[in-house]
Amino acid sequence: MMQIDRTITLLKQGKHITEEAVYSLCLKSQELLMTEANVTHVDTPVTICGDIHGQLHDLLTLFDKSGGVEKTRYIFLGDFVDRGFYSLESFLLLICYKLKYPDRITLIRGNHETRQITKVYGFYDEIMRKYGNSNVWRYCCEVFDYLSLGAIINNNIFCVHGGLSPDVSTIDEIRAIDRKQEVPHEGAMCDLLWSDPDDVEKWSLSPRGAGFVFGQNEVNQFLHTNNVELIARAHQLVMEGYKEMFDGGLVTVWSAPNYCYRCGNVAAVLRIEDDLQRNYTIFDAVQPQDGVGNAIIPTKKSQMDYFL
Amino acid sequence: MERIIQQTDYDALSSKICALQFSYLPPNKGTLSEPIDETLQSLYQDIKSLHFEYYKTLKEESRNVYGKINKLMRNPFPVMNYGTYLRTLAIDVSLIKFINSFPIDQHFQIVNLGSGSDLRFIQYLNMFGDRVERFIDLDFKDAIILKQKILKDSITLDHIIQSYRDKFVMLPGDLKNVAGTLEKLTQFLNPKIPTIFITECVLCYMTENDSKQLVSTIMNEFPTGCWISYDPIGGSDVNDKFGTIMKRNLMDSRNLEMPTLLIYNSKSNYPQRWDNGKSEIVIKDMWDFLSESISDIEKKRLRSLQFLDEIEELKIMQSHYVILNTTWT
Repeated sequence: MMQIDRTITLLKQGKHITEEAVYSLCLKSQELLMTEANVTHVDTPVTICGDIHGQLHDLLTLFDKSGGVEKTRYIFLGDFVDRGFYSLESFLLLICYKLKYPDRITLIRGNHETRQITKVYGFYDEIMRKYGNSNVWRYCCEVFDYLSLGAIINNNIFCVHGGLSPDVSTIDEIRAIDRKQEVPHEGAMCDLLWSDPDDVEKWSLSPRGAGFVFGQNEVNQFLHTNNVELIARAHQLVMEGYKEMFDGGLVTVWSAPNYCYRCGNVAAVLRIEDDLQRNYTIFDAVQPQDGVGNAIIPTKKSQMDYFL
Repeated sequence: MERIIQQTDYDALSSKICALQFSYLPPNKGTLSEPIDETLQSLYQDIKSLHFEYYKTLKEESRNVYGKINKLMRNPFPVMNYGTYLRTLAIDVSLIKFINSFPIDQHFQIVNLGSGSDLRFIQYLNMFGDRVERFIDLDFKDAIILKQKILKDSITLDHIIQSYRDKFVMLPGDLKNVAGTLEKLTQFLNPKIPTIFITECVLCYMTENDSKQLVSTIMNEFPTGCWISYDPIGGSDVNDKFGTIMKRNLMDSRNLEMPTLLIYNSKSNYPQRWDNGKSEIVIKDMWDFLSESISDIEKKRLRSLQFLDEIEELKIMQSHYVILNTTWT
């Protein structure tokens, strides 16, 4: 536990964590996650958080604004890594908290918690830049394979990263998936991590190249069959931080403010009270400033993110 | 400042090489639902080998520039490849449409202002050689010198240049010096035949006054002409922070200024410089272009190249880049 506290302190300062320390953290968290079900039960009150994407300083703001892990229960809906400059630190901070407060943090797998996607979207490159080899990336990917696929709050709110799947009508079917693997390119496990809601009449192909697009009919059907009132998911950037759809039957929560340091959006977290009331907290990106609060200057990276 | 602006050409070239490597470019047959699809196909026939040849020769010519470009290429996000694809196509579709609007035997001239390492001149001379009276690439002196060296050192490219030596001209110049630019251009252009001007991510680096001057001077000097301009726009909605953040990011990361990003910030404000009461102006953002002009089958092909993780992000970015087409007579 001493070591975890030390690591948390280092992470909050954006300092280097040794390969050995990462290895040991990853091993411990695998053992812990292994015991969790595909769909974890969580009690209220709980705060639901969307995509983080390696924006460590914004993750620290998130904890600041929403009570902090000492006092609050959290569900993170995945996409901890990629795009931002601090994927490793963000993910390690979350697994340190998970190890320190196992019943206060639930981590759900996002479509970025895979080997294939992290090779394209920055996490792999970040590890090569920080360690000169890919070992740490491999340790983390092994943890990814053990992350839950969803959570259920008070048997009333279903949490997932992406959305529904035409192969899944009941939550029990999700419980039956063998999740401990790289996310496949198709099928139920893939869809849960990749699908999006939209105003469509029926299941449609997703423009992302994986998963499906589903509409109100599919959502109503799922809510009815499983006797739940809300699907809470992340996965899609929402400029206002959150967006309720389908008469409040589904909500998208997005927790990476000024996504990719250039989108200009605000972020949100959703607190579910004991009476299932929904309370949103909106927060903005922290302006990088030397030595102030939790602001960390993003590493100078040659900017390729605009068309010049 | 000149060097900082000039280096943006390395971004443009590396983006194009990436889009070619990942097979976004060239577009497939059936990309456009319009009859010009076939023209587009022939235009892109050699695009890959041309650019790879240029890039290979660049390596021998300038290790420094090659190193910079190579570094930029390391992490090609799908959103960037999409954007490069859209930008490249939007300019070529505009060019082909202008050329097709001329009578079939009409000769014309093309001027690429701030051309950088763009190789369109080869594509258009190959395609419309007998009708292109003149193709001019104009850029800062150092950019032109490097480009000349590369083209000369590559046997393949030099061979092409030689065959077009009466038509193709590379001019060193600074667009801020409008009088000087005009003087150079008029030496090589015939004002009596239509001229198409291209500014691809060029005006955005100029001050409001300089870019206004450049556009109005050219429009006054050439009695008939067309202009194709591609640039970012900052956004005009009060909640739209894209431009403010872009300005700050580019300033912080590379000291690059975008003086008019928040002035010509929308599809209605951007065309002001070309509006002389007589010009016809069409402007589209790149998200419109993707949604309206690219066929479903091509969109499906693009989706299969890499997993695109964020459609929303693509939309935000692409709705902040515009293509303007205007003609004046």
